[in-house]
Amino acid sequence: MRDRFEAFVTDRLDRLLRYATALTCDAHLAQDVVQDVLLRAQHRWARIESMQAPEAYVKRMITNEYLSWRRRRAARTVASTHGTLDALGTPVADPANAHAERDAMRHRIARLPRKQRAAILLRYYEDCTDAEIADLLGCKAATVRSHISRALATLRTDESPSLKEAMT
Amino acid sequence: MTGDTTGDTTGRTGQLIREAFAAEADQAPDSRAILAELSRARPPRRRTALVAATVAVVAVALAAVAVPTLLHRNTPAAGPQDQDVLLLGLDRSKKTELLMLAHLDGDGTASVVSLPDIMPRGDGSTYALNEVYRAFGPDRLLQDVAKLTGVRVEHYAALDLDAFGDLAAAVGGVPVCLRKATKDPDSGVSFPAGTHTITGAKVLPFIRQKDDVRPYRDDDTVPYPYFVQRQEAFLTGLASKAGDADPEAVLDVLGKHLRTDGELDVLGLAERIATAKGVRFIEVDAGLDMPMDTGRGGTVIPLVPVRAFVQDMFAGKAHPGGPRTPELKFSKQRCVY
Repeated sequence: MRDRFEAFVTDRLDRLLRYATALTCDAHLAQDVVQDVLLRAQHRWARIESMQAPEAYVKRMITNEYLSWRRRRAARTVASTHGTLDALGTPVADPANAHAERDAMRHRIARLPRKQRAAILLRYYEDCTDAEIADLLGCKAATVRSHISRALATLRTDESPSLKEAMT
Repeated sequence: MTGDTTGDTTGRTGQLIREAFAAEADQAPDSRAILAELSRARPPRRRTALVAATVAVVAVALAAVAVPTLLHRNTPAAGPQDQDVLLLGLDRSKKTELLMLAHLDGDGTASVVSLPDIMPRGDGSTYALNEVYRAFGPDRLLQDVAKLTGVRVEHYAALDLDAFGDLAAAVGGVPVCLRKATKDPDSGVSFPAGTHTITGAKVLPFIRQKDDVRPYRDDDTVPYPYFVQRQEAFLTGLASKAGDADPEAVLDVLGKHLRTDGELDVLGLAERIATAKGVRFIEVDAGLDMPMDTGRGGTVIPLVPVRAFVQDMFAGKAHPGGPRTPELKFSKQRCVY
C-alpha cells in the first residue's frame, strides 16, 4: 500500500502543489497545506485509493484544509513574477503588456475572500460545473453561483479603463 | 468583454483569470521538501495521540490515585468477560470533546477506538455526534454509537476534562519540570522553565499544549510529540504524589466530574485499563478530519466500513487504517520540553 501511495505522490504531487498554490496565492502556505493533507492521506490510503477518483478526493482535502486554515491569513500579496521583473527590465513601457494585465488580475484574485477564490479557481482553472463546485465546497449550487458572480464583479470592476482601452 | 456573464468562461475576463491562475500555479514550491517529509514520516495524527493520551490519563490517573487509595473493597475487579464502555471527555459546556469506545477483552487486552464527531443520517447528510450527549442525553448517544459502530454498548463513563486539574489539586499539586519556558498561543498560558508544581486550571493547558514539532523516539519510527511527553510528565508526577492523595478529595473529584450509567464499576474499569496487557488506540478511519461545514453532501461516512473496522479492532485483528500511537511510559521523572 505504501508503494502505491508513493506512486500516487510521485505522479501527482506537482499538480497538487500547483493547484494549492493557485488556491492559496502563497507558495509556503500551499506547501504546508499539501504536506499536512498528504500526511493524513497516507494513513487512509487503502480507503482513498478504493474510491472512484482518489485525486479529486485529495484535492477536496486540500481545498477544505485551506478553507479551514485559521492559523495564518491567506497572503494578500503576490510575489514579483518573472513577468513583472521582465517587464520592469524592458526599456519600452507598454501599458498593454499582457503580463502586466495578467499580474494585475493575480493581485485582484489574491484579494478575493477565500470561498470566492476557491469557487473561481474551480470554475476557471479546474473547469468544474456549479454542481461539482457545490459538492467540493459543501454548499448549494446557488451559493456557488453567488460566489462566482460576486468574484467576477470584483475582478471586472477593478480593471483599469486604460488597460481596457489599450486592449481594444 | 461586455456580455461576460457568470456562466461565461470564454470571454476576455475568463481568459485573463485562467492566465492569472496559471501564473500563480507557476509559483508552486519545489516538491522535494514534501517528498522528503513523506518518506521520513510515519506521522502522528495529533488527534489520535491526544485522544489516546487522554484516555491513558483518565485510566492511569484513576489507577494511580483512586485505586490504591479507594480500593479497600473486597470485590474483585470485573471478571474476564468482554466489556464495551463508551468513554466521554466533556468540556465545560458539556460538549463531547473526546468520544471513545473501549473494548476490554476477556484475554486481558484492551482496544480503544476514537469515534468521529459527526454522524450520518439515512439521507446522506450528517449531524453533530458531539452534541448528542449535551442535547439529548446519554441514552440517545448510546443508541447512535450502536448505529455507527454496530456495537451495542450499555455502559458509559463521562468525565469533565476539568477533573485533571482537580485531581492534581487533590494530591497537593503535581510536580513537572520543563527544559525551557513555553507559551501556548491557544490557551494563553505560559510555563516557566525548571521544576514547578501545577494544579487546577493550569493542568489542562499544560497537557493540551500544542506545537508543530514532531520529534521522534530513538528508533526514528514512532512519533513522540512534545505534548505526549508533557502528558507523560504530568502522569508521572501525579503517580509520584499518589501517596499524598487525600482520599476524600479524590472521591469528591470523581463525584463531581464523573458520571456513569450507574451500573458501571468505575474502579474495576480503571483497573482493567491500567493493568491491561496491551492497549491499542486507534481512530475510526472515516475521512472525517474535514471541516464540519462540508457535512452537507460533502462528507461521506461509510457505515459499513466503520462497523467492519470497529469489529476488526475489537477482535484483535490488525487493520491498515491507522497508526499505533506510542505507549505511554511513566517510569521516571524527567524534564520535558
